[in-house]
Amino acid sequence: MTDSALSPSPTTQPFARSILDNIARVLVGKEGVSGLALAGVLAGGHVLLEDAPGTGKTMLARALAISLGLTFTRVQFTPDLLPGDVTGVSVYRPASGTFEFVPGPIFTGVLLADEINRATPKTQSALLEAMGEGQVTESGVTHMLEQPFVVIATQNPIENEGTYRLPEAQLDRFLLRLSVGYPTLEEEVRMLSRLQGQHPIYALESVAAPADLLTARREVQAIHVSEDLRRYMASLAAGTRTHSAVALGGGPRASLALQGVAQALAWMEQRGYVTPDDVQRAAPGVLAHRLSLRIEARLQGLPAEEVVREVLRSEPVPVESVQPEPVAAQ
Amino acid sequence: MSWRAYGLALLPLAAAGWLPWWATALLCVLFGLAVRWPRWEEGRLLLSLLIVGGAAVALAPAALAQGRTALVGLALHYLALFFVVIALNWSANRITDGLRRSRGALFVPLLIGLLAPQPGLLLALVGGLLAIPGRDERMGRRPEQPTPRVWWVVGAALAALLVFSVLLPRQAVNWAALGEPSPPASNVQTAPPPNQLPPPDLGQTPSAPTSPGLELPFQFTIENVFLPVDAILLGGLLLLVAGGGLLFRFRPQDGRKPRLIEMLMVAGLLLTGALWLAAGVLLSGGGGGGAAGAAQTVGPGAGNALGQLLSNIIGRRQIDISGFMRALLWLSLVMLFALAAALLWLNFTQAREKEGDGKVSPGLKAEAPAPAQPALHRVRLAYRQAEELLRQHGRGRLAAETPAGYAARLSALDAVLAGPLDTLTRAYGPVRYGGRVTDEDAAQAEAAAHELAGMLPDLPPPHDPSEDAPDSLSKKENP
Repeated sequence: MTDSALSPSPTTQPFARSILDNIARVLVGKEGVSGLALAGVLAGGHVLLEDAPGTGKTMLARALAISLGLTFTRVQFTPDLLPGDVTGVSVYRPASGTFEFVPGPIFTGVLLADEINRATPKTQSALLEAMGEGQVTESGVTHMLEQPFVVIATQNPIENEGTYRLPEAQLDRFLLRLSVGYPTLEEEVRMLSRLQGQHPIYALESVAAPADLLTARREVQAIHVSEDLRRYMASLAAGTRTHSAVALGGGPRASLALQGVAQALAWMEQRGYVTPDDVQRAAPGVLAHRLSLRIEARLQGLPAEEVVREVLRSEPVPVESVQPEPVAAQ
Repeated sequence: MSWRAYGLALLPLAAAGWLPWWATALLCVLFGLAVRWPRWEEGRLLLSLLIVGGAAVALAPAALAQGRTALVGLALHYLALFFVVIALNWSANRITDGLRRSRGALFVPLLIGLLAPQPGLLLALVGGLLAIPGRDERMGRRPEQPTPRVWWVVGAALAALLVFSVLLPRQAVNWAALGEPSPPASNVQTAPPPNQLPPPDLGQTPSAPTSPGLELPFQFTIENVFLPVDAILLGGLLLLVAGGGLLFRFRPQDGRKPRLIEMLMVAGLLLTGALWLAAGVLLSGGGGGGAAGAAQTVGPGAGNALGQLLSNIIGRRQIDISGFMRALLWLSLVMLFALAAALLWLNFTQAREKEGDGKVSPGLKAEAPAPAQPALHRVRLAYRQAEELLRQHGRGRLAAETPAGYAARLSALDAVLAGPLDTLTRAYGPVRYGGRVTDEDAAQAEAAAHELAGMLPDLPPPHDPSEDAPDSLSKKENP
């Protein structure tokens, strides 16, 4: 998928367009990934940004959070970070003789978990309940998070020193995994020009309110998905499970995620229905990080995205003359 | 669109022997409009019923002046007209479908015309033959769809209802006295003998009432026709309810004003329901609850010389058509129930879908899924045929290719295809995946498909499309 495939166009929904334009002020030439990240947020999910250092992951996350007008907290994940540092802890108050819960930085609208794979699995797992159920349980007491709640995490896939690979259960909680990618030469030149003075992120202002996002989410959920496309999406998820290079494929949660992101993409284009193009645009970001590849495939350096692309190429699209097969055998 | 398609406007001439001339002319105009504009095609049946109902109402004052016999005759005549109109519409649909059995559909107007022969029948048949699309003109017409399961359920329910209505206990009715005004209850035994109905005289002189002002183009009385009057009344009520539902749905809301055609369709429904109710009351013989009948053989209108001549030719065989008319009226009753059930079902499903769309923002409401309509099939068929044509010219779609991706690839190969492909794909997406369809989309899609069909023979053969595919798995074209 190219960036231009998701660039704001005259048909882009005004709410989405204003946010994407806002992000474009600080991030040059990344309309595609910005659009997908916004789609993930609109679908009610969390987004994992994965790429090499200096590609603009944190900048994208910050710009998205500011644009949405949500309360924003950034946590730098480090090996010595404890779960309580994220979720909050109960502190003993000698004066009253009671424990009082002090909320952690997770009690926010947008949590930027920077370099999430630098924290230990124990701390990473502290996010599971919050991301999955929108709540935090501490000392047997459940505290609800504010809504909307979005986790945007970043990680560097290249560096292994001092990092802890995210477990599958944690990865599955992310609706999308996106790669920002390096800019082209022209884009980099434009970026140098734009960022010569003060970084525009400091002047960035929100263009929406939390209520707008909640309204948009409700509308996204009402976008029509035809029965054929549902079958197509389920076949894609099933295709990842039966692929020869995959040890563990996408589960039903992957199908649900695919439907949600496709609906959000349709909504962003002001369409009341999902098309196969929406599904195909969403599929790599939704499915790839949920796949656990076989050791042979890993040794060959086969990226999970390529597996998803193979599944996309093998699964018939429901068009007029095509009756989709239940599952395409690999 | 070919000029021959307008031959369909002549089809109602087959029923000229059944209707006043002005009603026949209106039907011709309506059928012509339906050829030109799909919205009129959708409303053709209900508008035809409106015209026929209007004709019956126009004849009512004269019948009223003649007494009960004439009124009963008019009621029977209207019930038969109901069947005639539905049969004509069915025939028109079959003809315009362009399917293999289109010519067979011409037997319907032929039969209708032979029952009341007149010279217009020949014109109607010629028009029908002209309107049958040729092999290359079928694009954009509706394909045959498998019968949805729900219609089996509706059909079974209707059949059960009819059987139930037949089994209801009913009172014996003295049909010979049908034409007489009901005497007071105390004087029933001493009532004067009823007027005798005219004897059967098929092919000789028409049995129409002779008083001036009422000249039914086609009159009949039938011996011992058994009609479930309760079912007729029920059907009329159902139709009124369906009309009320449509009226509610077409009410002005969200800044949208009801269209004239929608109002006419509702009027057609309500008038038909009212006339069925009236016919049911008349045939019940003043509330006896039984079935109706009267005796008869049939003759054409007195003023129709050629029709009378034809009728005389046929009439010399002295065919008793009582059984046939009985079947005809039963059939029209079944059709009434089917029509009422279809409209009620439509109201129900659309209301449900509207509820489902309620959460979508106003901007999206216009694109929200709509129930399947005939135009939906036109777009899909146009796309299917265009894709098939492209495949035959070596430009087939890859199995894993989306319509937009396919259009983009072909447009890159042959820029001349870009315009019609873009039009076709834009019309196809909402119909195929969103359930949304407009007449304009359908017409544009058909035009684009025609344009593609015209372009393809002039294009050079492309290189193997599979060469563009990055993976062997995607090289398989659609069957």
